Amino acid sequence: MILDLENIGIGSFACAFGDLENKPENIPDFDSLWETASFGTDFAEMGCTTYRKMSGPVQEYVVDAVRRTLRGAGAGATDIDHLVIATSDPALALLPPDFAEQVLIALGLDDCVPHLVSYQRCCSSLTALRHSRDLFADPDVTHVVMVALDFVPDDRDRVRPYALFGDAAVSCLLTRHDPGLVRLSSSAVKVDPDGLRGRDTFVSRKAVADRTLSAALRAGGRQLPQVTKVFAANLYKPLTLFNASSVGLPPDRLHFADTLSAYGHCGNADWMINLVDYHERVGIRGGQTYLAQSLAPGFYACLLLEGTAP
Amino acid sequence: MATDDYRRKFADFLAKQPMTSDITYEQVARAKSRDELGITSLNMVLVLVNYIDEYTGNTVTMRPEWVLRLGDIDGILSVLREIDASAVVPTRA
Repeated sequence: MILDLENIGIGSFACAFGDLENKPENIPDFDSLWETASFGTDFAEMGCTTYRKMSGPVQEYVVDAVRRTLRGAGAGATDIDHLVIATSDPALALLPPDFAEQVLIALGLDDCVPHLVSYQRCCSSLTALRHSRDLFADPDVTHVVMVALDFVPDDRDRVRPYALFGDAAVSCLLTRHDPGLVRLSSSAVKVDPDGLRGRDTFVSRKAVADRTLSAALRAGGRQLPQVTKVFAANLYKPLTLFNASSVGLPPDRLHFADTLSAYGHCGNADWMINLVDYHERVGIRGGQTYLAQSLAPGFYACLLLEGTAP
Repeated sequence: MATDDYRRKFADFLAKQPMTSDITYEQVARAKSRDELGITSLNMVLVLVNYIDEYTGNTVTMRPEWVLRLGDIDGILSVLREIDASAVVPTRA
């Protein structure tokens, strides 16, 4: 059964970004917000040029992404056994109480069980992917859709000391009988207790990052040099590069700069956006190992993915 | 270079950075921790990035073990010393 789960194909990724493109500098009171968040740092060094804002209800973007995922895989709504939705804690609080029903009905997913994974902030979607894969322990399950969403209704809340937030919903399809683009080799998520209390430091952040990365590599039977590319969280560019260096990842191993510039930090969807962008520009290669990574105050998460393309 | 000289070099460098330009040598000399100087994590990262650019021409990359020393001033000075020692081109200052 374990081997069977390891061969579940993951693919047909689809991104639905906010439809309105905006420049951070056009956010009302941006200079004041940035000064408060950054204590005098030059915003131009952060690597963020534009971000996307959703002008309509978030469920419309989720439906759009999932529709394109199904179309890309040639799957029908009746094929889907489970829909796993992942979001960060602040966005969770903004979802309408009938959110899952609205999405299921709009997509015609009449025989599909909805799930929610949250409370791990921007690490939620990494746990959601593992949960989605583990649903295949039921031999009757053949298709699972996973979707990560994050959005910020008030533009003034986008400007944070560690990232500029954008809006996106990104989906993918897990299938039992199709190799997809990648398969999940291993995963790990760990907690930084100092971060939960708002007292995280360089030391505590590095400690949780080291523990998480080691656990994922050990479980996946890999060494760090075997990782072809890292799909990181789109924090401000200097922070993203620093965080990678702090766990021994060379800066050139990361794929994030162009998506950071265009979309900012789309919460727990970043690693999927970066995977899609990398696949479009370079291509995910069969047999290669990829690392998806995210972090948030109190959390660090990693996925080891193996390319399955022939 | 002695530790006090590095403290001076660090203070001079902070004074040239837009986000730390109001920090004086006297404050650096008194401080034990980065928090006492009001340098945030983001600003500390930028100080390091800019220091590596200025003094090594980006020939040095961050080392994981340096991260653990960025909370106190003596640790930061030891990192700056190692950055200078690791440069593969002559330092510019």
